[in-house]
Amino acid sequence: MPDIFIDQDPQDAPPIQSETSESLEKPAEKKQVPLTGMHNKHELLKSLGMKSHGGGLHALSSYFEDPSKVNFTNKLDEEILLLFLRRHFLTNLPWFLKAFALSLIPVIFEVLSTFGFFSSNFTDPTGKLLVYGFYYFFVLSGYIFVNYMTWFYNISLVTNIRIIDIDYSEIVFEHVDATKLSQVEDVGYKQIGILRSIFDYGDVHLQTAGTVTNFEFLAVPHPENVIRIINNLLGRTPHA
Amino acid sequence: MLENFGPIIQDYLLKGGFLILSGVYIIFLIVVLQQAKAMKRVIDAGPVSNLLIYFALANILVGILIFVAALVIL
Repeated sequence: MPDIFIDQDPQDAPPIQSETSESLEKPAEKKQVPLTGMHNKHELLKSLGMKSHGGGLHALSSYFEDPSKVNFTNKLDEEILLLFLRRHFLTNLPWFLKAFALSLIPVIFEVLSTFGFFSSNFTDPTGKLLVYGFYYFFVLSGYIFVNYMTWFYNISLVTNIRIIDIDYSEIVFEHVDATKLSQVEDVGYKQIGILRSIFDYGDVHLQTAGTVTNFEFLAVPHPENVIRIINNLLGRTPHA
Repeated sequence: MLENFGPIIQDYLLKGGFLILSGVYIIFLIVVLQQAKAMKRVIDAGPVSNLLIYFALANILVGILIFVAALVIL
């Protein structure tokens, strides 16, 4: 007769199924989307809380998420461009006002000469037209165009692998810096001033390891967003 | 007699000065065009990059036009 009172070995016993068993387990870790691989692009953008706008920049864009139509030199195959930054367009206001003032000079000159302050008859009317035409051409192409180009090509890029800073000024100066995300140690931003607070732009600082150059994205729009995205990326990057 | 040369010298100075200025400016515009092309190679920020190159090219053409006009008119 079998002994029905023999207790079962607790190790062989099946685990007790209950409704509370799942709640006692460790909370499931959030799925980390790998940083590389083009098939992961949309997942990566979604996990970083970024919007895909279809990639098209316009002439005055200064903050753009997922600029897929932008290409840059030495782009790696698995590199995904996440963020495209320029100075806020409002930072162009000083040179814009200067250009406006410069364009008024011939008008003021002519007005003063009609009141007899001095003579503007330095040459015949056709010649005068040519000189003024050249002056306006000089202001338009020399001053406005060069300043716009300087603003246009001062770009900072954040990819899933690197951070790239392209500096361009005074026509003949171009400087390109890049660092791996794993080299970035500290990220912060500064937003001081009334205009910066109203129009939401500020300076983002990236401190890098060792002798690698520190990065500064000056007067970029939505600095808190930039910091959030870079911090999210840093959380997924194995540090060197 | 020297009094008659005054306006002539003034005209030549104006013409010469203007031609030198516009000539130097055309060289500057050529540098701008080259830089626009170089920056496009560094970063191609969409169709606006091409537009900048065309604008720089148009500037050179206008500059040459002004130079020729100055040569004829002044």
